[in-house]
Amino acid sequence: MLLRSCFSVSGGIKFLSHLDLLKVMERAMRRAVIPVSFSQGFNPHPKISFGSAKGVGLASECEYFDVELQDNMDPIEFQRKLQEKCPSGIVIKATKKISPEEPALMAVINCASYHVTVEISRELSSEELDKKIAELFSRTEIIIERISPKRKKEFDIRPGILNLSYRFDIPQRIVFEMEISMGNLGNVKPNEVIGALGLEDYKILDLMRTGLFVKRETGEKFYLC
Amino acid sequence: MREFIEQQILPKVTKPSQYIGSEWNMAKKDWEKCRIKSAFLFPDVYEIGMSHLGLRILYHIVNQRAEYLMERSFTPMVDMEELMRENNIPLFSWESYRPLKEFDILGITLQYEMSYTNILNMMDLSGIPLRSKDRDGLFPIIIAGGPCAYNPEPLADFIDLFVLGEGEEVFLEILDSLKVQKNQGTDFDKNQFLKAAAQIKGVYVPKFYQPSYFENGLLHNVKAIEDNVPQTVYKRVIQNFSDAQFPEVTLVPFTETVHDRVMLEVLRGCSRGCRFCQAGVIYRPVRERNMDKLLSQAEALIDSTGYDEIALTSLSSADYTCIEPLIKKLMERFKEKKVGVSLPSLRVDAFSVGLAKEVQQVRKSGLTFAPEAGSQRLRDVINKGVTEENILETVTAAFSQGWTSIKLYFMIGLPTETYEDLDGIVDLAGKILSVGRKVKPKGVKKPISITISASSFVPKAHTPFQWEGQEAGNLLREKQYYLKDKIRPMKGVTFNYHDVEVSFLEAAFARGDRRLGDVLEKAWQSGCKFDGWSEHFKYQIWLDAFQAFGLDPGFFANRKFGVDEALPWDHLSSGVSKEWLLSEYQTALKGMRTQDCRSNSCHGCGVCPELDIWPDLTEEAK
Repeated sequence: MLLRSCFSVSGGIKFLSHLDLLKVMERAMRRAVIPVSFSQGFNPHPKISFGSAKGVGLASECEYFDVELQDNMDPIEFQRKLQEKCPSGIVIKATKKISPEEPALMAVINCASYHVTVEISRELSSEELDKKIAELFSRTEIIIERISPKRKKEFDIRPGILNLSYRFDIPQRIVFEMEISMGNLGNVKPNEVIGALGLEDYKILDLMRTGLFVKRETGEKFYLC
Repeated sequence: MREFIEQQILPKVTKPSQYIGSEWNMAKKDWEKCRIKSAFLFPDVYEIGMSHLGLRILYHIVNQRAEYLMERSFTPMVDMEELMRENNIPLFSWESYRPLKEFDILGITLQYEMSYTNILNMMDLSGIPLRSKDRDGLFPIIIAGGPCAYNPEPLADFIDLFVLGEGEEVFLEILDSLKVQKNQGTDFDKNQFLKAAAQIKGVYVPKFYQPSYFENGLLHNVKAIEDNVPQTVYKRVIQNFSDAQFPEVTLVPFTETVHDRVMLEVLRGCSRGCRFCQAGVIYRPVRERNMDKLLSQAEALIDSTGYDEIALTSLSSADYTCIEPLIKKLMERFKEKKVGVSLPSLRVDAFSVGLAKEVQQVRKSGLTFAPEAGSQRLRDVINKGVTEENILETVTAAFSQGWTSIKLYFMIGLPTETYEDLDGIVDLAGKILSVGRKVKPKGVKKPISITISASSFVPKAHTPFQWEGQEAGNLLREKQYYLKDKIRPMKGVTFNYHDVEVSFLEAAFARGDRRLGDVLEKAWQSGCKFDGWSEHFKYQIWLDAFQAFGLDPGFFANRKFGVDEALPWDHLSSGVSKEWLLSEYQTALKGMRTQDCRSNSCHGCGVCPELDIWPDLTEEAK
């Protein structure tokens, strides 16, 4: 049977790489004696697949994985047993059964929401900030340079910026909420969006992913679990 | 401090997950309730330190005691260290992020001479004075153990107390003694503690011993200068190894470490008597763990960790009397759960088709063998009783079972070695390659690949070759190029070798005396650390450090010691007699073998009568 779970990652564990996190989940399932199915071949591995390769250092309220079990198991029981054997920092939030026809997580997730806490050196008023945001959305394209070890590439992030709002924590600390595209619609990074705002002298203090979902052409948001 | 590090520092460093601690099965003890707080320091990075079995064993043993605790610390990577120093963050423990300076006692493991600068660096990062004489009772006691403790003299000025031998019992005895001294009321008297500790068998307190030198620079002796301390310190050895404490619940690191699997210690010691091998001498006699015990430990460890592989660890696991029944039983219990069994570097003459078939049932891990020398003549000199026939039989077994990649360890610079012996390595590689291509099963697509790894021989204390000097660096380098040239045209064979300069310094410290302490400090002060890592090794600085004290590293590394000469480790004993080591050395030079005492008669090394212990082998299952 196929199960899909949503889990959060916080604290020191957010620094794990994607591969490390996968292994943590594999071992937790082994400790919980959950009957995970294995792949065939010379090097059988447990059939667990994640919804996204979460970057190192990113805390997240909603990561997803799908797991294939050899035997049927009640999703609530699965969640309870797994949570017991998960290291602190990982909280399994929801689990549901999915059908084998369900498309793979990585194939459908195309949107992510983030909370980004930014510290600015000079106080900014709401009017000034509103103006900057309006200006960002008024642009038809925002070209940024992505430098990888092999080459430099130019990318237009404007179409991927779907929503951006904010609130002031303290006068020089702003918490931005944004929805940006990822996956097959093109990946936009939260720091790129903040960069495009044109704030002078800022520092990103905290970054947290608050949602992973599917945005349909209709604008409708579809959550996976 | 933890919050600051998590928010401001970890996002800026490589592999931040190595510093977060909080691993599954981490010990959580109440700091206030524990009378003695200890920390285990591994002088290299987390991913290497967490593969050390000794750490896990002592961690378990100490934390089992209600009144003691043990936390861990590792060497921060260079980028992390820089940020720590910039922000005045002292080196801390992984469990509670407490500064190491706040602990009562720090225990450092001496696995490798090139980790010594990291030791000084960790002390400095902790705000702890490097020299013992500069540390009063307010600083932690600093102790060290492990293989290099058998020639600890280069570290004698910095470490308060060395432990020789197995730590399971003696470590607790040291904590007990420390507790007694700390409970004395008023100020802790460090010297009183050291005097009491020196009474514990296996404990060597260097400040109670004084080395003296002849005019010509040779060592005269190392003499006890304090009353009531032994002239010779003997190692500790566990009598009932089978029942000795071993963790059944053990730490599961988050990040990939060198060994991401359950480690089961099947036996300790080795009776083969290879003459270059220090471990073979210092861990004598061989003692095996009872098979039922191992099976229940395996079960408990898989349950408590969730690992999918069990490694049967020891100096020579395939020598375990019941190795095939053990593996069979492990496979029976764990095959369904898809838990594999692996064997680390194996003796060529102990591997077999039966073993191969069992081990590969879940998944194949790589196979490593250590023939060590390329010709039978040289193998006899070093007493590695492995024949070419053994080697070819073994690789035939492995290849025909579907293994395609094999690693072979050799050493160059062995005593009496000639270029003919090096040719032997190349011939062997060629023969193994053709065997592999011939017997490879039809379905296997991967091409045969052989890795030849040649390290430079470092003569070690307490071995029959302890009088031999290391071959000169330029000659070793020539040999490396020779092998490289001959192997290059062989498709499917890769040749790895180690930096000659690092091996040279390793030899200097392995054979050096207390005079090297100043050199070590100077080298560290001038920027040396992570010497075992090629990107950080600074050879010229080391040479300058030697020169600053008017010392020649070659005097320690390359010089042959006279058989009547005092050795810097004569006052420390592994239980094996120096006379026997000398006779083994002479037998070696004649190219003659000495048989394994496990299955042949006792060859009189002396360890059993000296330490009142005997080899302990498991019974073959009927």
